[in-house]
Amino acid sequence: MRRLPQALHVAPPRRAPRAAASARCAALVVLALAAAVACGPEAGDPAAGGPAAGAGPSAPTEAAGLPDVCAAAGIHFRHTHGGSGRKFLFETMGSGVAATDFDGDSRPDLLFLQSGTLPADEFPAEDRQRAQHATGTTAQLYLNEGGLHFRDVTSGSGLEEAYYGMGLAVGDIDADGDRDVYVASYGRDRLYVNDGAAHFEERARLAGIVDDSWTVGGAFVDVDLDGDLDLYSVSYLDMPIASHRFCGPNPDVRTYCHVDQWKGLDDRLWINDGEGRFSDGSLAAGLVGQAGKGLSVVAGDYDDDGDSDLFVANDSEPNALLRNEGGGRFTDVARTSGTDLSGEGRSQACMGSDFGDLDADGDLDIFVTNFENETNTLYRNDGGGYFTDVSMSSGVAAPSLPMLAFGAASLDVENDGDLDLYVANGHIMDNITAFQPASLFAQPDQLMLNDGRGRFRLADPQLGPSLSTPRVGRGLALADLDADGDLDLVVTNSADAPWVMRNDLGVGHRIVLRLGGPEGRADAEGARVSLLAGGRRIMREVRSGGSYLSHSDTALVIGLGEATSIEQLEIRWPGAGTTSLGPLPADILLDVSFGGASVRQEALPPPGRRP
Amino acid sequence: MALATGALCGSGAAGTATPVCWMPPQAAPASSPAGAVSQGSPVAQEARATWDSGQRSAALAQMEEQLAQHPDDLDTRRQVALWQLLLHRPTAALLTTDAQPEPLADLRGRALYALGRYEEALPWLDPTDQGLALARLDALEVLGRDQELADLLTVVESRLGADHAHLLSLRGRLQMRQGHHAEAVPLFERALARDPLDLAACFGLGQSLVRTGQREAGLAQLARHRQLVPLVDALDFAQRGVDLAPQHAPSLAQLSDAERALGLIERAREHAQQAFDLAGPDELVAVTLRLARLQEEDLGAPDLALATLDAGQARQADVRLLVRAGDVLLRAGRPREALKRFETALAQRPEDDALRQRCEAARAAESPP
Repeated sequence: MRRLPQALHVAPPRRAPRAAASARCAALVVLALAAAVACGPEAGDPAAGGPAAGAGPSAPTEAAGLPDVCAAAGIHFRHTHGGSGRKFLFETMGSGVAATDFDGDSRPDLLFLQSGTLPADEFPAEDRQRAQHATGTTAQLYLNEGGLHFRDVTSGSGLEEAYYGMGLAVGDIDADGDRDVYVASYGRDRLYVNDGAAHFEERARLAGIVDDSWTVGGAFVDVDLDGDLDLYSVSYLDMPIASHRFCGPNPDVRTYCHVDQWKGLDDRLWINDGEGRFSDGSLAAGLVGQAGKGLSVVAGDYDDDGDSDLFVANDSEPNALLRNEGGGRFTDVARTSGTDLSGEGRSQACMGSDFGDLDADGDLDIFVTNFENETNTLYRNDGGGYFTDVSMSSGVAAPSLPMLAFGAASLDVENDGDLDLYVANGHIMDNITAFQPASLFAQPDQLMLNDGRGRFRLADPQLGPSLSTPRVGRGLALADLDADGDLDLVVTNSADAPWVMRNDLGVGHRIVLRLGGPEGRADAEGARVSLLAGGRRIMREVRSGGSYLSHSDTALVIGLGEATSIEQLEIRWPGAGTTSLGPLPADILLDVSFGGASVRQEALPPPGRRP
Repeated sequence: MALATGALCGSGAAGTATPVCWMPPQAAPASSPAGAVSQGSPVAQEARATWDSGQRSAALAQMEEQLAQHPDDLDTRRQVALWQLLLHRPTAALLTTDAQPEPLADLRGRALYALGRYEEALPWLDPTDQGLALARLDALEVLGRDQELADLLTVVESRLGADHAHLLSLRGRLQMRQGHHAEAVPLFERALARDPLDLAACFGLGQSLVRTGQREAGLAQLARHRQLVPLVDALDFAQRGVDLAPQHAPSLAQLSDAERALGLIERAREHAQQAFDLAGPDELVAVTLRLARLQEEDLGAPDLALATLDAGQARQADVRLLVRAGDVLLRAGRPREALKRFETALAQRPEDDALRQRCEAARAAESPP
């Protein structure tokens, strides 16, 4: 690796050549979008003042982009970390968000975790091991009422509990058709069981999930293919309050200490007995003794053998790629696969991660977000269990160098049939400019647009305020909040309001699939969809975990570009065969029950239009 | 007057232990504008003397002050930017070149490269310049511009020879990225034969071996890579310390330690000896102990170690040096002489039980049962 100077990196100025080049690229993107609208075979007659209704790709009703609709949507959440200068590392880490339906109306709701307000005395008793006494604010739950309007229903939801929250995972642990919530925190883990109407009861200890260490997130996935959701929880550092000490470049400047100051913790695998009770399967899974300083986990079948494998992004330690051997056992193949380190052989400060078929070759690649002066890393799946770091040649590396990146998601933002990348950026040190004058604490997010062959270019920052207005981005979740058939984005910002971005870029045709899980379970985490549309094969998996501290909706929104129909569509169910459908029209939503026993179809609004 | 000499060893590619070095041009640049200070000015000469004495930050400060008074003087600006780079201050160097970027293109390119701003660096990295061409190759690799990299690599190979370790490593990685792992293996092996601490070659070799079915050999190589990374980092860090203060004995001793950990014994000896020669009273004991340890353990020369310890004792009497000398003698099978040292030390520290035990051990060794 190029040993970049750790203390001297300078972020390019706003009008630096790179920014200018980016702007040029982005301008081309806008032109390309405009061309697609104007010149696409389905475009309406411009003379008629707009595209014909229902006739295919059409111009968005407003300037295409990612407008922030947070306040207009009725969301008043504001993150607080409670820091007052003593620089506890956890202050700068959180927190996460879930975007999924909690009350059974099929509309994705939003659950924002809260870090917490530390008491005024800031841990006076050094023997207090965890921030159990965080007070003041709690998570907030917003129910989606349609039309991009949300209602704060935190009070009475059972979620109004104060703790120092980090990340979450969502899954139907008891197969009662609603989604439950696992919360990782600096302190004891929580498991909120849903009654189906977004009322929750905290039952972690009753369910057997007992972990008081610093956990940051997790993924619900059926690792043993027995039909219920198991939980992989990611642990970070063994950092009791008493171990806190001064770190800084000089005695006058205090900063957050580097993670090297503490040992990592073993992740845990909680095996579900089928009734929502869990036992610790970490030893059998081979996780004991790994102590990897994990910050995110994402599940995906990278080796296409029908079960979900796990990628764990570890901070400044080698990553883990846990190949599922069946029966809840895993083998870490990161080293042989080439995913433990960057292509230059270096551990990176891996934060967020995601699986996705980014080069459209039918297998899952891995994307990881990293620290300032490190590239975000794209591991291309070469097949045969091998990956190659293609960060440089794919174009994701260069724009990421000045950024400190957290949330990471692959999504087809334009519905053109390929996966783009969204990255939430923000430094961890609020006083970074005191000793790195050119570095930025608040940073704009980045959208990297895919050319369809796995090469990315930075989108125009003017496409949305999140791409041009610096904030301190952390969590990132995706869901079609306005039911218009494209993925909207939610980014949590440290000590700030979140971005809630309505996606107006999704102008291509698409299909949305909601895949039910076995025996009444809400979702089919790990199901794989392969389709052929317009001569192009597209593969997607129902996501579990991924990004950073956050949970995205499980509904698959698959962009089809200009294709108006789908020749074939195959769903591979986890441990339960396949379902073949087709031909199908584009621009529909399919609700498919597990195994394909029932299929319900409804029309989506025309591309680029909201319902 | 010629500019300061010395190689600029940049960040190097892919963690190589032998980073890309760039020799600054020796010839003076174009003459200074009328009225400006020249490099031969008394101030410049004084700064140069300060630099040569090892007080590099002070020398730089002198020249920066000079530049502030004569901002149009190109020679001074070049000297300041060069020294800033040599002292690992690329941000400052970049700012210094802002006023006259074209005549200082080489330094500007180098600063941007050191800052990781590869795209911006490229226009300033002259491919016909040997050192800058190596940096340019690095930048092209980072930017994923493999075709340009391959083209330039061929040119530079013809210039520097195909057996250049860094070029072999670059070529190997290029082959890897193209999926030609079997072809990459011998390139990495040759690179490592020339530079065993080339981390990129080590990592690439491990990966390529795994991918060509030589799993065990590959894993062994990857394990070696993982062991080397922190050691090479420590070496890099220590080298930077010496760059900042080349006459600072503790920095030289730290560099020696880092080299010793990597098995670079001759270099470690050389730097430990320099540290010993330069050490002040407060630094001498620690530096002496380290040199003696290296001489005894790595060079297998207890007599040399003893001589060092005695010389240190002569410069700065300290009981620790006596005790270590006794230990060396005892291990060398010379218990009588060891006992003498221990007893002398014990006289200075009569309450020291550990010393008493050492005396007993020496006596026992002298008169075995």
